[in-house]
Amino acid sequence: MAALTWLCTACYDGHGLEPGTDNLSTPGITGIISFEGSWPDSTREVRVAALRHFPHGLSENTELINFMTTAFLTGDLVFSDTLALFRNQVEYSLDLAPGEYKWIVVAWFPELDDYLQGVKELGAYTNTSDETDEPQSITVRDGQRITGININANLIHINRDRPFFEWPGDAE
Amino acid sequence: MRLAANCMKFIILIVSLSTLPLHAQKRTSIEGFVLNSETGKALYGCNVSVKGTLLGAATNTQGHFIIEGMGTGNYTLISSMIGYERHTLPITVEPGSIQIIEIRLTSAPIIGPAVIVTASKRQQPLESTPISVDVVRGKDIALRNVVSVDEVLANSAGIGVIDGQIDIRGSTGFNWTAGSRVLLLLDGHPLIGGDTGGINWDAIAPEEVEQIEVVKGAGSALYGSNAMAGVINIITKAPSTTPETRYKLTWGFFDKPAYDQWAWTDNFLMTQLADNNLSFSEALSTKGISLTHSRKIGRTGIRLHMTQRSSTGYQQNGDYSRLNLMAKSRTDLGKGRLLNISGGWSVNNHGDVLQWESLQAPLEVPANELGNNVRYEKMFINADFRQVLSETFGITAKVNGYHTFWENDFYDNNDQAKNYRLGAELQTDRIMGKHTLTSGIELITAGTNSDIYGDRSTWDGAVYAEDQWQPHPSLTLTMGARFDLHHVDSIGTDSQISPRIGAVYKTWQGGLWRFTAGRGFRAPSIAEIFAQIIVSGFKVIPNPNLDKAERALSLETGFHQMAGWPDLPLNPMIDLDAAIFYSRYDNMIDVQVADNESAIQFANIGAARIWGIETRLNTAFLNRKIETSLGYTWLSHSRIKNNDPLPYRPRHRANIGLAANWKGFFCGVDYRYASRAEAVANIYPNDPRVAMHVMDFRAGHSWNRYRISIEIKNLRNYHYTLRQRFMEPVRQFFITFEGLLGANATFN
Repeated sequence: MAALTWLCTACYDGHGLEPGTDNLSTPGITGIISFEGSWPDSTREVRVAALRHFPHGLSENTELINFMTTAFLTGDLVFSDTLALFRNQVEYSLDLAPGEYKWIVVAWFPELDDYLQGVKELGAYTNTSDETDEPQSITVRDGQRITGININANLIHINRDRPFFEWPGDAE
Repeated sequence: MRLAANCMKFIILIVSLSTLPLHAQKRTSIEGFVLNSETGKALYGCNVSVKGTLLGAATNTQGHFIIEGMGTGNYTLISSMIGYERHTLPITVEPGSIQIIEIRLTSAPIIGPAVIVTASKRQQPLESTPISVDVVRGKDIALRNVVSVDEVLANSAGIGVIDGQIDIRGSTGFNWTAGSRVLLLLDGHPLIGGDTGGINWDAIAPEEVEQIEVVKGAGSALYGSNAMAGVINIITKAPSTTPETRYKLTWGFFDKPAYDQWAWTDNFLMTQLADNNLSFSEALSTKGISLTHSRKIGRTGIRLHMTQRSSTGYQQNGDYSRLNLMAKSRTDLGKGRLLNISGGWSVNNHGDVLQWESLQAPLEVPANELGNNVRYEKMFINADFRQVLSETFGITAKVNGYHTFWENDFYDNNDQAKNYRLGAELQTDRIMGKHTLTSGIELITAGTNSDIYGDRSTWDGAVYAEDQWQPHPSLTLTMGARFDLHHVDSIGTDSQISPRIGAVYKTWQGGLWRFTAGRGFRAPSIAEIFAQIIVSGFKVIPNPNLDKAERALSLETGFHQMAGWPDLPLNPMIDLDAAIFYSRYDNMIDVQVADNESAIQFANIGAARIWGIETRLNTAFLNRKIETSLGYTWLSHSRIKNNDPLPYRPRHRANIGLAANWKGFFCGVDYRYASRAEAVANIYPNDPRVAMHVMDFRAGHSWNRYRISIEIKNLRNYHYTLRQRFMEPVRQFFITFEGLLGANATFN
């Protein structure tokens, strides 16, 4: 009888986990950034940036910086809070409005007065179905907090001349 | 160290004493048949032994047995089998005589096994074992659609399974498959990976399992490292004496998750039906085929097995394709000599799910992990030679090899590893009056060549001895110890002494009280020391300071009672077991965040305490037409330093089983419960988790050479996790058809 009672009790216990029971109803992404290479003393801050569009047709550094500024003002570019520095791995969380984001990058900023001019991409959330390491877009649904958007970032890229890597040519 | 040296000398002395030359004796043999007293049918698998000696045999499918190597004089034959009363028969063996004996066994209130082989490394009655032993019977596996052997263990009291990792009474929790505090044996041979020291269940085809013995508590006194919290011995089916072929076909499909927004594809069969777009080839499904042939050629019985299984999985990256090949031979060389050789090869191509995308899409993986795949190959070969040199002295020599190879095809790594583990053991068993002495020596070497571990190797050497003394017919005392040397290249050598004492006192008819105390240990695996890898953003770094084995002191006392009332209505029988257990762990090895908080690593995290109670009640009615099982375990666990609970250990765990069979029809329900784990490894900032409530249902019919069955797993479509961010399987439906070919083959 005890066994039967237990069985009956179990039958009224619902379906267990439910959507939203993780209290992560704010749309956005979370993940872990793994850093490789040596941290330079000139580091001012590092942030994760999500962009709705690629800087299509732009090549000059100045144009790219302007693109970023405009995108930030229009909400097409969203930055995370500054990440903890001088660590090999750090977790991040970024609130985003629902929609598609073409480009999730880790951005490094130098200790300069005009630090936006020295921004460098350390790594991007990449496509895994091929070996091109092309940026992987994500779509955030309403009420969805996407986890596992993990990015490998290499600090050696701060020595590059250009702020960003290449992006897909057919991108908007 | 001086104590260690003295202990080693003592053990070597005992080993030497037990291998002294023996007096040659004139030998003869006896043979006979064992039958069911009520039906007259031959009983297969009955153990017939000669009291006070090491001689014995098991009956074949015709109920026949033969015991060789006996001298002349008066003896007592003991016949024991699951579900029957133990039968004793005095016999007199005269020179040159040929005796053919008929033994008839009557049903008895023994629901559990009559004889086990794991607790003391030799065949012994369950009631002389001072430690808790659970047994999963072959039929418990055969009547379920078991894809992996660990599935059936999850229905046993006090046992949890997370991602294939076994947790006995809270010993292991979950440590990401690196290292196991439970030793897995296959027919008495270790089956532990050379790199992680973990268990790979898919190396074993469930169809080939005859019985699983689960010894709970410290087993290092006989088995060494890994056995610090228990030993699981999977005993595979013996070759048949007459040609027999068995085939099995299975097909199943996955139900939709309970919430539409979780249905990540339109290829759930129920969705296809609703959309009037049924396509079996595209539906999320599982299929399997297995084939077994067994026969005897001359003195050698052979058994060959093949299983092919594939599944789309119920989640992204959940697909797999497995092939298992197993072979076994048993050669009776006469004069008490027996040679067993077995081998197997398996390959498993499977997707990898480390974490879900989010709780809004828990059956999907992060986009960059889509397509992550692993190829895992395992190969083992085991051989053991047993010889009864006299009525009271026998030796067993074992050699075993286990090779594994895995290769990741991940977005962020293509790591691979080739691993091996080789072992050799010589064991002696000697009866000296009221003492039975088991002793032996064991050598092991293991190694790996891998991107993430480097080129590493270890070796182990051990000697052990255990004496079982029966000073009174109602009292059995056990005392033994094992000395182990463990060497890891570039790290050093460690030594361990693992003593164990135990007592069993038979209280009254069918009842006994037991006590055991022992020390166990587990040396850190190569993976735990040297792993250096980034997987999905998780960075694991090596820990060369992980040079201490973790140790455990375990105590247990328990009570076991069997009783039956054949004259009462429904012919009730009960098998009750209750135990209180306590373990203190020192230098426990677990995952921790490294000092600079940038990565995780395995480390000695300090001391911990685990204690609890466990009860198990099996009942049977109407001559076992109805059987029930009930198990409950309560656990208290904490780190001694700060009283924090240990991760992945539910406070309460329970299981209920109901089964019925009548004229070939059978049905059953299994229910498993585990309370919400109070703690998990601090890897993610938050972790949604609930208690586990899982119910499985099965029904079917056997007639002559055929059996058909259906099974519904996770009947209630309950959604839960056992480790972070990994949804356990949704409801599944299976249909299975089995058939037998062979002169005497039947399922009934």
